[in-house]
Amino acid sequence: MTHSTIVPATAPELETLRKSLGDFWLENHLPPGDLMTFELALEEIFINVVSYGVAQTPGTVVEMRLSLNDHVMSLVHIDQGFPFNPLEKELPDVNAALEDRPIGGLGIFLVEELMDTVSYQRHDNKNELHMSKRLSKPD
Amino acid sequence: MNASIEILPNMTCIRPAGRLDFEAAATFQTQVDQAIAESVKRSAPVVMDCNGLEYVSSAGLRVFLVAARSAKAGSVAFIVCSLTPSVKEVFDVSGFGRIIDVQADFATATAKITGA
Repeated sequence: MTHSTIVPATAPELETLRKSLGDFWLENHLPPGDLMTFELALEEIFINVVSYGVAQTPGTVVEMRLSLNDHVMSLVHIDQGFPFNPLEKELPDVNAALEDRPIGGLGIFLVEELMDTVSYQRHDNKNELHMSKRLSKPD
Repeated sequence: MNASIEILPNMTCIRPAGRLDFEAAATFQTQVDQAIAESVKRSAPVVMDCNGLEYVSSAGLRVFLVAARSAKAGSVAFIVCSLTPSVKEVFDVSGFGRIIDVQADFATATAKITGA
């Protein structure tokens, strides 16, 4: 079961991708508890890309590929921006005190923590971020 | 999302409901900033009751972080309570549970304020 959605790389299109993800969830009767992890990953990566990654190249698109394989859900986020591997960013110190805690840098950290696997590839002049998680078993 | 702000005699209660994503964060931040500034003026503690909060991203977490700092700078208590399971997971993973006072429910949060 795979599904692809392509949208213009602009912030309001997050809603289109989120709707597509939600529909995929319902059609495949996936556990609601895991949906938020994927919604969060989608928001963090998409907003990061449209805010910084493709800001210099208007008119580009983002593709979201969803696939389900033996209860492992995968989301691939593909953009046409300049080469950028978000996994190379320095991660925030989650043990820092309230006053020292940096305001930014948390998004990609959350994605890495909440997903089982996250990997980056530069392919066909595009950035591909592959994320997957084994879904919880229904009760 | 939407948020209600309740000014009670002994505390200010902020109740966000719905989805706190990047789009909702800026408006919510403004509401929270105002509520905390008011609360600091009258030295009243602030309780953020998240019973109706279904989703939070890093943009939303940032609002909590800024709020906790403003409250601390103004010497008023800031307590977050009633996190739903998925929001709690994000709080735990981000380490926010260690830098922000999180209570299980509203009763526990208010008990902490009144010292009851």
